[in-house]
Amino acid sequence: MKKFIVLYTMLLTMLGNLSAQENNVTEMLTRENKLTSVNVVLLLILSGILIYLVIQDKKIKKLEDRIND
Amino acid sequence: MFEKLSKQVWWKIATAVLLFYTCIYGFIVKAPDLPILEESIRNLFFHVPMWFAMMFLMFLNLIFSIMYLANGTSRYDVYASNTAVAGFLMGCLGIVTGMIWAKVTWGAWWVFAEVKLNAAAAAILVYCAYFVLRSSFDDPELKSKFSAVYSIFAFVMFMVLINVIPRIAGSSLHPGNGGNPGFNSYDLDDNLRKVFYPAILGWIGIGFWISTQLIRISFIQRKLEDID
Repeated sequence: MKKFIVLYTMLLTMLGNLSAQENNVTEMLTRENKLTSVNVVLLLILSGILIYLVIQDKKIKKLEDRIND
Repeated sequence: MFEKLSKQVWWKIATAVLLFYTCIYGFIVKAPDLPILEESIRNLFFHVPMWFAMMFLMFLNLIFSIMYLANGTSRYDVYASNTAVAGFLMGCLGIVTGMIWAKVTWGAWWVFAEVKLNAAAAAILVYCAYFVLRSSFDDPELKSKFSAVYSIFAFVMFMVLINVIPRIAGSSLHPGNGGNPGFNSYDLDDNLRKVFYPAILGWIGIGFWISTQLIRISFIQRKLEDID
């Protein structure tokens, strides 16, 4: 994961430098990379929220069972 | 019925699937080429559904408050107060996503001349007052009764502030308000619809999921305190 982030940052920096040459293809690529990075961040946040909710559900279920016994 | 639903798994899985679909396909789908909005149009899958989720949860709050006033069963007060907490959370997320969108498209985090932004802030404050009111009573029965009555007023105010005032205002930056055409009529194309409608269900689902957990925790606390 760490390697992926390093590679991803390097790629973005490279494309950022190239876009200074006003290359349309590069501009398009950076735009798509920005979208991808937002997408990855959102997916991580969403996964975190859902995992948290599932863990909470299990904890609540355990507490309910303990109280009902 | 509510308790049975809160322990079922199928709708939680459906919520997760819908939200992953929103977050993945929402970034793959071809967005219409709109000036200023550009790729930020994809925030439509987050900002607007979060407000829909708040409306849904506050509507539940209204229904449970009316049921409490009709029956006097404290269970309905627990439902009402916790759906309001989850609704408030979704409203805050709606404000934050709206501010990010405003910064990208309008160049400022908050536009003070914009009617809908101020109305949304006022609507959030109306529900802040609901929580202040609840915390100001020591007697649980008085607290439940007063907050149930207030929540009826709060929901009416919320709908007027969010849906009526911005539409009758002279000017607004929001689509569908102040005489502007809505997204529906000119640029919410079929591609966006494929993500937008599932996103509404997904965000409502997650708001409802949070409210069910809060309700279950409240019941556990009440049992430990021997209230029930």
